[in-house]
Amino acid sequence: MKIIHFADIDCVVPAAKDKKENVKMKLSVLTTEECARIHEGALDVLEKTGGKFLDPRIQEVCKKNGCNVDPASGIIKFPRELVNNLIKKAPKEFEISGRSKKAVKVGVGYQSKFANFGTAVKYATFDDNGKFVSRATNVKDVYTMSKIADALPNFDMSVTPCSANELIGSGKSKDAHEQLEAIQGFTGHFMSDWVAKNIKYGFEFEKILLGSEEEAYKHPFYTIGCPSASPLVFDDRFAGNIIESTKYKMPTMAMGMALNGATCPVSLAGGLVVAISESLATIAISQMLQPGNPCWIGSSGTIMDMKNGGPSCGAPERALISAAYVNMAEYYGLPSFIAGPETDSKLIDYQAGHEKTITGYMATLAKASMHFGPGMLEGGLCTSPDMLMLDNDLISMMKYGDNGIVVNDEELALDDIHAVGPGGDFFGLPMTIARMNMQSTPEIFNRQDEGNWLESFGGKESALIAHEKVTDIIKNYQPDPIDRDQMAELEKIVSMADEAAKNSTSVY
Amino acid sequence: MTQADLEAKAKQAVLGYQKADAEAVAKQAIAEGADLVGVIENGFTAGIQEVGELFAQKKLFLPHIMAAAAAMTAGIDILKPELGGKTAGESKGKFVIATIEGDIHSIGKDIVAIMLGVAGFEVLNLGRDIPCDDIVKACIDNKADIVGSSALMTSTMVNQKTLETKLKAAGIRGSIITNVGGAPVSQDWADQIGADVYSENANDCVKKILEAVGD
Ligand code: B12
Repeated sequence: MKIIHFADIDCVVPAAKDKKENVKMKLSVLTTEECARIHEGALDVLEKTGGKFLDPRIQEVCKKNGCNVDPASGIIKFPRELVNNLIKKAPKEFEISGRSKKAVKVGVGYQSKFANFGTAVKYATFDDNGKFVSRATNVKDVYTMSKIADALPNFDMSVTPCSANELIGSGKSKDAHEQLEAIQGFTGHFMSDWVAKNIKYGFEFEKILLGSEEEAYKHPFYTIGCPSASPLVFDDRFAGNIIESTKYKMPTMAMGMALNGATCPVSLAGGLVVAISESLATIAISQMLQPGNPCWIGSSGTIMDMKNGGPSCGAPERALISAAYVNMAEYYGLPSFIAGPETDSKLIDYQAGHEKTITGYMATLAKASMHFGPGMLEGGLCTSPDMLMLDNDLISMMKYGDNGIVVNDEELALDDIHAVGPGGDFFGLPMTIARMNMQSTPEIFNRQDEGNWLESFGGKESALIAHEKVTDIIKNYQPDPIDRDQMAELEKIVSMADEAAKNSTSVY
Repeated sequence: MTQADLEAKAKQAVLGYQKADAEAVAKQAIAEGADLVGVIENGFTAGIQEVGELFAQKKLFLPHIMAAAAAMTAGIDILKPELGGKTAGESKGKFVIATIEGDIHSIGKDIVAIMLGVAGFEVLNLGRDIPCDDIVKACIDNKADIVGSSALMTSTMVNQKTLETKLKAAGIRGSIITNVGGAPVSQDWADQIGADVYSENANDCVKKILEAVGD
């Protein structure tokens, strides 16, 4: 069996247009009017019912900005105008950068970009007998998954892929060790799992790698997730994350995560009202703490599957909610960061392929700024290198589909049609030759006839081919290395975090 | 109203997920000087057990069992202060359950709490993000037989270990069964921190805890 080498493949990802002209191919699951109704509903919730904010620091800053704060209950009510004004302060576009990958702009109107999924607690791949098995994740998996995302062309960002389970209860700073692995593996921007009290060490990482505090403020590597606990509770984790990250001008991920039927109404529109109200409150607070701070409006919302008794990441409802969030983001003129290609399947199978396509493609057509989900299995508990490899292909195909069909004189090609006439062929035409590399070209998905497929791939299914390719990446791919002195400094920061962890009892 | 009618009405309130009806029948039972233990056992508890069985058979689902449990609790809460020391039913044991400090994931824990209640345990559900010290205190104050903790994040699992330590420090570890659960939690983790029982889900929990208390 010939193992196809990563570098051998002439995989052409259709050039992701920097600014999207193709607005006709746009999925609107909400009309502008419907966006406005959801927005008004969210403002109504924030003004009349408000949210529960447990941290006195948040209560204080909200009070200073004109919110109605009840310190005893922690309930904060937000005047409509205040929220509207604060959302306008968030930048419409911003650049996300990392230590060496090219910075990319995010905002309304760009073609979708992708981040690998995190944070898994299981890692699944094929064993030596070709059996697909899962196990608990460890710190090395963080590096492996990060580096695969770095090697593949479709990942502009990375979510901390998994947890260093072996460090739980070890007295060491689990997150600092995870982030040290992540930053060696992936060279772009992260949504990281730094816990609030350690976000300062993330800033130190940025300073070391960028050379100065000024640069670190200008080009943060880390987006920090600041999710609420639906419905309308904003706990210590929220407070710690948003306070610490805005200090360092790290982008805020204002993530709605309501579960229809459990933590928000079972109706999708009602769920959007709850989730959007939480996202808006988060953006408002981010702007109070650091005016002009970059904010993503994000969603990890889905249904609580009542028959199964848990949420679903692969449901069409998940796809609708993500796409609706993208429409809402456009309504606000803010970059979106949503759940894209995801699945509840435990295997790389038909279910996984179907669910990832429906969730990923709807959000792609809605023009999500950034997706998370690639690599995911088991509804958010498991990550797989083989799945990530296949998802890379899925993304290429979705981006291709998103390009739509251009109709103009050149594209209509009437001259060619006349010239070839009845019965001829178009193979050798200059246009055909010039566009050889512009067709969709999957790296893994196989289009050969059976005989050729048997001969070149031994009749293997795509997941096993992906496994061979990704094994090669794991073995041979080298992310842009970190210079030795800088590495020593990063390690010093991790030791400081370890030292602090020894003497600390609180999680955040 | 006869005792049998009151019991039937109480049961019906649970089967029909009617909290207001459950409260009304409880108040009526008190007003009429009925046998309150009977209303609980043959009414509310009988109702939830039926719902629990249908849930196990996948004929009823999460919303049903949540709503039925809410109706049952509402009724029993009204009757409890009037029982005058008498206990209703034979408790399989006192089970304190909470989502561990720093963690707000509560859905799975609540399902476990309800299923334990259906199985006949006296359940004290402390809620989510509960400091270890508060869990220990609740165990002491209520003379709990079992304590269950839920952790859904690898960053908060460490507090299940802290809970083990604090139960020891409080001198009650020897007299209580510890039970851990939550999606990232495993048998390995339970072994590592010295927890007595690991349960993968609600049914597994009920089964293993019944075994552990020797039922
Ligand atoms: C729903 C959900 C939420 C909801 C919780 C709502 C609520 N009120 O509970 C919301 C949106 C608020 C939320 C928030 C967050 N979440 Co969350 N969440 C989930 C999700 C999708 C499902 C959990 C769930 O409810 N499952 C359904 C129930 C029925 O199952 P279960 O909880 O596993 O419970 C069963 C068993 O585990 C067991 N069990 C559970 N508890 C107990 C206790 C005992 C005593 C026993 C015996 C048994 C037992 O029995 C239950 C019934 O069968 C999981 C992913 C997943 N698929 O598990 C992520 C997940 C747990 N969340 C995660 C994270 C990181 C977060 C956030 C930090 C946000 C974020 N960045 O994603 C915040 C944390 C906030 C905080 N301070 O805690 C991560 C944890 C990752 C990690 N490596 O640690 C997960 C794994 C998702 C992921 N991969 O990123 N989340």
